[in-house]
Amino acid sequence: MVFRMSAKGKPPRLRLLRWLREILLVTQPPLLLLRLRAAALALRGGDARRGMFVSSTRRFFLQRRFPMQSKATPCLILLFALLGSCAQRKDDGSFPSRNISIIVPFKPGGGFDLQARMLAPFLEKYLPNKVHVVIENVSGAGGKMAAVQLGRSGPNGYTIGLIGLESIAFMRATGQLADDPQNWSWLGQLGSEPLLVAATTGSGLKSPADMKTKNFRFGVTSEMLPSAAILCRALGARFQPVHFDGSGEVVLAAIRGDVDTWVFSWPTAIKGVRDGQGKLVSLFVVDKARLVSVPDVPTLAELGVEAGAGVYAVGAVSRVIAAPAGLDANVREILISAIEQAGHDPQFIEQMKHADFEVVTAGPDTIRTKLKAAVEEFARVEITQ
Amino acid sequence: MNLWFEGFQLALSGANLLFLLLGTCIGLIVGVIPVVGPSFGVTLALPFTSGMDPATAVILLAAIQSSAAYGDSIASILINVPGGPGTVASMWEGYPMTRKGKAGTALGIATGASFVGGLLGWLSFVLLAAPMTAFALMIGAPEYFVLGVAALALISIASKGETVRGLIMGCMGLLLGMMGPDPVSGITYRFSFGIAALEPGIDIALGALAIFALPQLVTLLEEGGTIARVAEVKDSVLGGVIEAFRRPRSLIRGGIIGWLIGVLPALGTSAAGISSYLIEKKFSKERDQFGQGSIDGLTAAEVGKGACVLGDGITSLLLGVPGSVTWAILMAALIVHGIQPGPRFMTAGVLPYTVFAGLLLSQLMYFVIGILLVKQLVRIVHVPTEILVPIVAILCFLGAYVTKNYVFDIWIMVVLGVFALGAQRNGYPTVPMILGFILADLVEANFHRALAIGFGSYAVFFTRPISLVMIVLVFLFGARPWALEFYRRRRQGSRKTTEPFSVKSGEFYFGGAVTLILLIFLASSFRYSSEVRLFPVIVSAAGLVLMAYWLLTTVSARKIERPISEDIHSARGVPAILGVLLVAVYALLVPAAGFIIASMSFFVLVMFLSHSRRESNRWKMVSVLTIAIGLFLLSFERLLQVNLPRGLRW
Repeated sequence: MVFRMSAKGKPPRLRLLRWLREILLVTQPPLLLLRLRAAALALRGGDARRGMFVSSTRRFFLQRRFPMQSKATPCLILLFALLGSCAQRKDDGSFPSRNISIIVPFKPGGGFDLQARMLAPFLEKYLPNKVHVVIENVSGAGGKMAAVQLGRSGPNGYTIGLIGLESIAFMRATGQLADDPQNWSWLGQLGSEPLLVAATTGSGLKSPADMKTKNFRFGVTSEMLPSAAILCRALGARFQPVHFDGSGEVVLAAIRGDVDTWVFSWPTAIKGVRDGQGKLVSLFVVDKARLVSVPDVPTLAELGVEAGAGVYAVGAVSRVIAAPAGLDANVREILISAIEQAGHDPQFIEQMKHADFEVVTAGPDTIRTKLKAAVEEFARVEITQ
Repeated sequence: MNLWFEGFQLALSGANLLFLLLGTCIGLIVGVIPVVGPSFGVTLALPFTSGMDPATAVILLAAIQSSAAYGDSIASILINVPGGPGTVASMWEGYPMTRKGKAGTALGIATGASFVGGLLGWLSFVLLAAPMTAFALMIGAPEYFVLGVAALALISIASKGETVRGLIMGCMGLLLGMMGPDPVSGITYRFSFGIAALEPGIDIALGALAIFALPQLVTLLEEGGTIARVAEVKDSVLGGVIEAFRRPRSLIRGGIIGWLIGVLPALGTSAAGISSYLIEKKFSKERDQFGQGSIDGLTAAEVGKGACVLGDGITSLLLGVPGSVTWAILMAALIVHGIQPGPRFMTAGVLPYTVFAGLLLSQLMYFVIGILLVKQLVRIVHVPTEILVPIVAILCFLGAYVTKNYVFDIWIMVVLGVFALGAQRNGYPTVPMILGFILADLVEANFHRALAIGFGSYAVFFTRPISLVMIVLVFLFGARPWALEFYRRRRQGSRKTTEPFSVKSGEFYFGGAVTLILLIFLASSFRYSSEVRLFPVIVSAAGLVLMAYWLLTTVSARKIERPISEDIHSARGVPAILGVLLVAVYALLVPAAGFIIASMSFFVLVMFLSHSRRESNRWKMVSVLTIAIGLFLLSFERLLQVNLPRGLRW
């Protein structure tokens, strides 16, 4: 059935009716009913030619003849069962008895990923049995996917995560995490790097006082955004963020003059200033005392800014290792000890230093205190966007 | 000069050559698996390189990267399933050639063109490094935005012939690309519809796989037989290579575009391959043959991809900004071995030159090995589809899962795949959809970034010299076809009889589904703040307007017929509906019974349903293959230390 449609030249109301009619004719409900009837007939086993329309599916089944008995079928089932059972791992009771995975919240190649990969062989060295430590990248949503995955994993010690403490605190403070990270089993810390703020020479920003008065653009990544907002608040400056995907892009933008200032953990920041072709200069570090590695950069306090303890709580990037809540005490002790030993291994420290990372270990209690302070600070300040 | 010499010497020394070979082989295998591309291969090899010499480590990883990017083309050309994000465009020309029985030629063209692309990229890297880095530094957010808008215009080239529906699918692709963290603040997670797994958005590689692979697999299963429609045809790999070399204009055009896209950090191999292809379509003399196996098209797509892989290296090595995920990993490897990529990279002694030497040698290596191996791989096209399709489907599911270790990714793939299948069957082109998907972030993120850079003023697009020049160029080139058409119409008079052609009822059904989806997105957008919802609202509204326009013009001007019979195709195989159902069941089985069991069951089911004659030997073959699949997956898991889903029992 073919219909020619033309509604031109008719008065509007009639045209509308015509269009409605055309649409009905196109979808053709009566034909649908006929089709259903034909299908029902065919299913009941009527002759394929008598029904108006036989669906291809039905014809397909009619044409096939399935072997009802086959010698191979029971063999297949047996094989399935065998394969299934031997794929199950034997647990002889001592921890660890199979591979451990470290969840990393970002894609391969980033700071977290690098540190996890550098840690893996040393963790293998200090764990009791010979097992592999595998990296699992669960990127997405600024680290939230990794946090969620960690929270959902079984508390058996075989899944741990290397995460950013301040990011977790921010997620908790803004209600993005259902379970309280305070309950997680905190196992250790790889580093805690205070933030360093740098500015372009072209922006005219030379001190926090300038930041208070001038109109400037703050280059941020989603990881740095909350801390940057809090810093601006502490400085009394207007927060005008420009969002980028990674630290490299922010540095490039600064060189180009698209942003006036940015903040990162000090190793990343110093690298950016060094690669900045002379256009970038460090302003200050967010720490109570000057950093040993960058002694010529002043602190916030030295430049006359009164910042509360909360600002210092969120003014760093702490890379910590956590496991889901409810971990067995014995397993936890083994993991904490292995991480502690790895953190003090001179080879590991050397390797991290090569990559411009400084190893700063911390115990679970210190981590919990920091987490609490960070959550409180983020909860106080509303990051509006 | 002697640094170069030393670098090559180091790269060619005994152990390094062996690792070069090893890396090429690993990369080829990884590349052939759908979806997983160079980044997966390099990530896998990274832990093993920690004990190695820096030069050896870099050579191994560079070899894996180059040959994986090349290996991706193999899957795309032979089975029309994207082997990796960069080879989507190669599918469109390479696969029709395979159907005609010229798979060897197609692979030869791909090998030759990739090699030339890599070579061009390498030469530009070495000779034009300084001006290129200066160029990369000058391109900021406003320029990227204008570039993105120009690229969106490519959608119209991609959908020639079905422009309105192509644009609608472009809007759908854009909306899909907007799912995930918003580019304004990164805090709002858009369009997750309450599902946590949708919050990071959909990966481009996964999207490409879903949109192209699944419909292809279902169609293949439906047709039965083998991929190659013609049994024996004179077909030579070397002949293909020579054909590619005989097209210097396509090579250079595609190479330059791929290279430029590589140099810009925000754009990757997918954009490069597709852009080179589409621009070639505009300029090539063979342009009517595009879509049916045009050599120009395949050459352009491959050379663009090959050049981009190396172009990405420029910003990675010389500016410290990773040009792609794979390069980010390569950079990480360099850092672990004490070499700092960035402006001070060239001062690190002989090692940077070894890196360059390694990159060039890896191009040569995959070229040579490719030509040797590819002839064997062509045999795949003669395997009956009933065996091939479930195996490829299992590989696709594997690829979909291992990218982020999320079972939900498999479901996303199935849902998107079913949508794309519906689109293909009802005359809605899927190419614009993938283009929109790729470009969404580029356009939106850079728009908001540009505004922030300009302190909120729109003048930022016009006050920056490069941006202004680009806008003028886009206007001139974009407006030109419209202006020409306008004048042509004026001269010819407006009596243009639109040829009435038939429209299937299925198109209306699908159109209804698209309208519904657009409405849902539009409605959801209003939950977000005004900046965050700006683009989604514009895009979904545009889509709805276009949909309405299409509906009106179609209803008023064309014949409408319902399909007289659905069974126009020779349905020797499994009908599409059943194929989709099988895939859906497989996807549901994975979390329930574990990946390995689900895959084996899926294979058995498909074989069970697709044989047409009673053959008792067949069960032996099926059981052997099933066990082989199970063993392969087990060893994949153990060797590569990937954790496949275990199922509910464990």
